[in-house]
Amino acid sequence: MVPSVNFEKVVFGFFVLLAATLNFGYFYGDIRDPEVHSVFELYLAVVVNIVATILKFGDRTQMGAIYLATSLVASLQLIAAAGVHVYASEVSTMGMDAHAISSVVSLCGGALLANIVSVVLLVIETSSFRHR
Amino acid sequence: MVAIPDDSPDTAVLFILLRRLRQPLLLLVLILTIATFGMSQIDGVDFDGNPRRLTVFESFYFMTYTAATVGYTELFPYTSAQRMWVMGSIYAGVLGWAYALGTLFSIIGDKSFKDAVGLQRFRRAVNRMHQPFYIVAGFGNAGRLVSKGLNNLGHRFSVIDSSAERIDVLIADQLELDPPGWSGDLRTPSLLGWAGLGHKHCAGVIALTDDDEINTAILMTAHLLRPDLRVIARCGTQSAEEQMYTFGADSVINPYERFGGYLVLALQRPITYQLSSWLLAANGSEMPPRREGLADGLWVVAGVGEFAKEVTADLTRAGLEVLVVDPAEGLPDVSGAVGLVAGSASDTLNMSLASRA
Repeated sequence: MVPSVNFEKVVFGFFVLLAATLNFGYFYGDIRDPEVHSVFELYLAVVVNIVATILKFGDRTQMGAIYLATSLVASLQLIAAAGVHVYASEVSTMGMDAHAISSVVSLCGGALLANIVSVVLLVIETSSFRHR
Repeated sequence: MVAIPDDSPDTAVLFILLRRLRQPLLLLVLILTIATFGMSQIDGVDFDGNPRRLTVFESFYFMTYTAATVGYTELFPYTSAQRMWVMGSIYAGVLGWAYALGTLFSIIGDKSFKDAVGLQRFRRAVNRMHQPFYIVAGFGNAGRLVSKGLNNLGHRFSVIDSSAERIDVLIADQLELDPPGWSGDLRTPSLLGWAGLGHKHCAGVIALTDDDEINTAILMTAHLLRPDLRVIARCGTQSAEEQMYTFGADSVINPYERFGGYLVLALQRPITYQLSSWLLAANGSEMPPRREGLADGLWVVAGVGEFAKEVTADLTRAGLEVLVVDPAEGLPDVSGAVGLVAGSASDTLNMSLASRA
């Protein structure tokens, strides 16, 4: 008999992985070259990370609390990255130069680390689950 | 030592309510995401008529104030395609905001949410106590007087009672020390735990409800969990008093018996009574007047029940002539008596008895 799956966990797993993959997609590439970092990917990474954070609202378990913490860290880092991006492209007289884009991408790198922790937690939680 | 129960089922409510916020927030994020992304993909023009798409930032900025119904103006003269998209976004976005805010306000107004927040505040206030304090259980007339006394003497305390209305009275009393108060089932040990039974500065427990059984339960809990604490309990009957001493009460106060005792003292040793009541009175009180010559003659006790029984026993023991009458059976004859104790259960009846004496 196939055990029934908790749909909430499926949705959450989907968003955690999507947050990490989008984050990695934006992060990947020459750190000084704005051409290889798509702004839409950054935008989606921010949104998906916020969604993953909201999905952990009201989770009382220890695991849930750590998920919430890592997602929150990733979201804040990505929002900071988006803020730097906007400042560089819309406000700064220097434009999107190598210094600005490397700040954005390195902030994303920090978020990626938090997202990787989330994915590792997801794997640990899944593998430690015992079928009854 | 046994662990003090500190389970808080009420905080589970907070998580359940937070859970209810998920769906509206996700919906709002989804709407704003789609609206922003679409806005940044539709071809438009700048002020000079050159083709120009909005950046992601400009789209988000525009959608933020538009969906929140603030609505400044268009960033550039929009094309019809952009205006159609904006229109759809407004319908969806305003609904999304209304749903999210409506849910948030309904959660804030939820009674269980308020209770959970109030309990957290109470526990935090108790935990912050940094000098010895007492736990006053029961905030009826006796509890209120004791609280005022403790307050005037500068002793800290926390208050618990079975009714929320009485705790409102505590808040309305505006005592200087601002004692924390909470209501709940006084028989549950966790309520005593929240009130500070496990606190290192807890100095004692005073059980003052008008129910002997509840007082006994409180003192048992306090004595078993913190044998080092002082426990003072109020009781209404002799048997409950003995029971309370067996369960480890440090002192049990039977107000009926105390009244009889003081009455006999006042009759037989007026000067001793005068001195002791002066010593017991608050600091700075005037010396009370002395009353003599009350010991010779007939005393009438009007009333039935525990109080009348105690007083009669005390007066008889003191060698006085006592006539017990039931006020329900008509007016007692008090001519020729030197004193009357109006001891029925009804205050109105007592007042009328006293006025006729």
